[in-house]
Amino acid sequence: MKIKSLYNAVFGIATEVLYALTIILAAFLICVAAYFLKL
Amino acid sequence: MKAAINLIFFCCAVSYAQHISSTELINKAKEYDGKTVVYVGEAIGDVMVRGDFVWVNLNDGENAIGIWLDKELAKEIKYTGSYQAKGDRLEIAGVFHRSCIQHGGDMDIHAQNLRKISPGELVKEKLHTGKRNFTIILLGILCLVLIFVRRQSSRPGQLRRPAKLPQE
Amino acid sequence: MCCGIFFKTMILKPQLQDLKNIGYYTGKIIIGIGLTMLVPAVIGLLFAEINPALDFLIATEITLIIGLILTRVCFTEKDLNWMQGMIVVSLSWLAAMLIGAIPLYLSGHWGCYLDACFDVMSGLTTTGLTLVQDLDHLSYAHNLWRHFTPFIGGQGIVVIALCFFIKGVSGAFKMYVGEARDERVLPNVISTSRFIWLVSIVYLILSTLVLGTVGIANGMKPVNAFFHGACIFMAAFDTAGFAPQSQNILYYHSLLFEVITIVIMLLGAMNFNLHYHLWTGNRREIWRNIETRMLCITIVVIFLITLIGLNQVGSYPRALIMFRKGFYQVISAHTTTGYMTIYARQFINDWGDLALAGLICAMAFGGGTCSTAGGIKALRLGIIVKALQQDLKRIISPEPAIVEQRLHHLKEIFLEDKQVRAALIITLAYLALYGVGALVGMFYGYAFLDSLFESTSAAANVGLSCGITTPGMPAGLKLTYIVQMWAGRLEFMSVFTLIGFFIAAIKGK
Repeated sequence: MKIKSLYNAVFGIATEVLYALTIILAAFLICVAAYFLKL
Repeated sequence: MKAAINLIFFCCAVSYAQHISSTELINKAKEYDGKTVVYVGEAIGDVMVRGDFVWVNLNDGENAIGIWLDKELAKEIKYTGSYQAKGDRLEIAGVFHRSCIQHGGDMDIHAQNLRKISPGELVKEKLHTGKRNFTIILLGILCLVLIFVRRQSSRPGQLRRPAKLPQE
Repeated sequence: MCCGIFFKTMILKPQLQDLKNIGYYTGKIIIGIGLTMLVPAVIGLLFAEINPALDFLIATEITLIIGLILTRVCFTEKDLNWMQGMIVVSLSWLAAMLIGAIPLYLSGHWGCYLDACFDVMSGLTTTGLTLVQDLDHLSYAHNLWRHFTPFIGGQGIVVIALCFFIKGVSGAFKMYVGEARDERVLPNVISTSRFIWLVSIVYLILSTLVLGTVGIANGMKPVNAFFHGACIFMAAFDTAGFAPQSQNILYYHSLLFEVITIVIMLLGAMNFNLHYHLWTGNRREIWRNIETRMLCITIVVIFLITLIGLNQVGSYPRALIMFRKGFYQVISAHTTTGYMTIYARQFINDWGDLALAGLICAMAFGGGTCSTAGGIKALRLGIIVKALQQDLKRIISPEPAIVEQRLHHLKEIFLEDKQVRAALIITLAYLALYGVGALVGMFYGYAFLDSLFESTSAAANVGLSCGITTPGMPAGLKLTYIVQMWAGRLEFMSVFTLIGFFIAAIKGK
């Protein structure tokens, strides 16, 4: 049970960090797109 | 030879640009963007080495501005400002950027020359006797209050029953 | 939702038992805060900062004396009712501000006691506006306290008390709600409080290690790197916005540092309930949840508006610069952190009206509910959007049809009118608060957009400044922002209850 809890917690943290990194990547791509499209 | 050229350049820079405050640089950033300026401030925090260059932030009493300078020039810096030290007071001449392309848009100065106006020093902390005395007096009062509170709560007929955990 | 308060039509004067209950529990919380001030005292001794250590010992002693006398004089075994619970919360926050200001004022780095109170309220409410002077020469002890106040206030002063001091009291729930935590993560509020602290401590350890390592790689001394790492984490995860140096995040001149702080800010803006679901295996919640979806949408839309505005004035001509200066400030505003990689006046000089309007919207919207973020919050915005959808469906559907609207927030919920009403009322209250603060700013002679910016920043507990917040600011404006930060953080209910209590004391029968 404890190993499963630790596994869930670690993957939970990874999911949250991935969510944040996705937003960051999306923002950066918008910056790049805006630079080339001269928005 | 290199030192002589640097000295000539520095004198030209000083004669061309006036000693400028951080507030004026920030408020008139577009006006000074790309120009050579002379800035004076105290080195604060860490001298951050990044390869052949370093970042040092200079605080002139109003704001701190990031200075990008050559590692060789940075060797002059001995003390940086913190609680325990007064930092070296430095005069730098360099190109000011409102939004530096090389450094992700940071407002900075790329220094070409550095001169130490006054050296920094460690600040010896003097014990504030008033605060020490006040601490001791308060400790005495706190002990008295603790004794009083303990006495009141251990009087017969005032025993506390533990509260029940509620069903929420 | 926090809808269970009933106001009597006949106002009754507060009774002695009311005062006793309020005094007793406020006293307990005051004792708790006094004990937390021992942490910076110990740090001061470790770094051989004797005078700062004395400042904190003096503050702890004064606090414990007041707290012990209060709990003794007002001793009671009775439980709290809703009104008393709300008042304990609002009073505790005021008491914490007055107490927490003592060591800061004694340091000599704040012009007056009001300035010190301003910074403590700013810290506790996780705002981040600051009136500190000569921050670059502040001791480790005082700097740690500055960053500790958001760590205490963000998780909730009452939450701390629930963890350690108040065991098995049903009034605990009423105080918990009064501190704008209207969702229980676990069945028991005390377990919920402990889970919130578990998440915070785990991320504290991880982030301090990561930021400290990056700091050393960036050229900082190890002691400074890890000290800054811990402080930056506490201020980022609690979406506060304090930094150990006067240049804020610009001090570090590091893209990696900025990216890590963005991640921490977003983590801090997430509902603690969401953390619980994700940490216990329900990972699908991250894309099903209405708050994470709303946040994604509003961040992208607002960033697009801001980006167009910035390009119109030509401030940040490269993609990476737009990311590090444009997006960084937007995400800092939207998560209501308040970290800055530009100087305050650059908002006015370099951003232009459209970009500033986008930023004000980001601040106004805020982060997730039951998180450390402020603002109107994503769940309320989601509810309002769903309510609009429902009304549109009603209009186009045939008359006898019953239109149901569902939303997913940890579980499937059918949207009810009372939820929409609650969301709209609090949203209106926030908008009114933003407006009133702006009016006061204009009364003191500041420009409209500047005043609205700073007012929204205070009331939504953001902490971005366009230059109004300085030690030379009028005292009336300092008081206004203190009240805005306090009311915004507690989401109005406990503040209104305190005001009502005083009215009842004067006018009641």
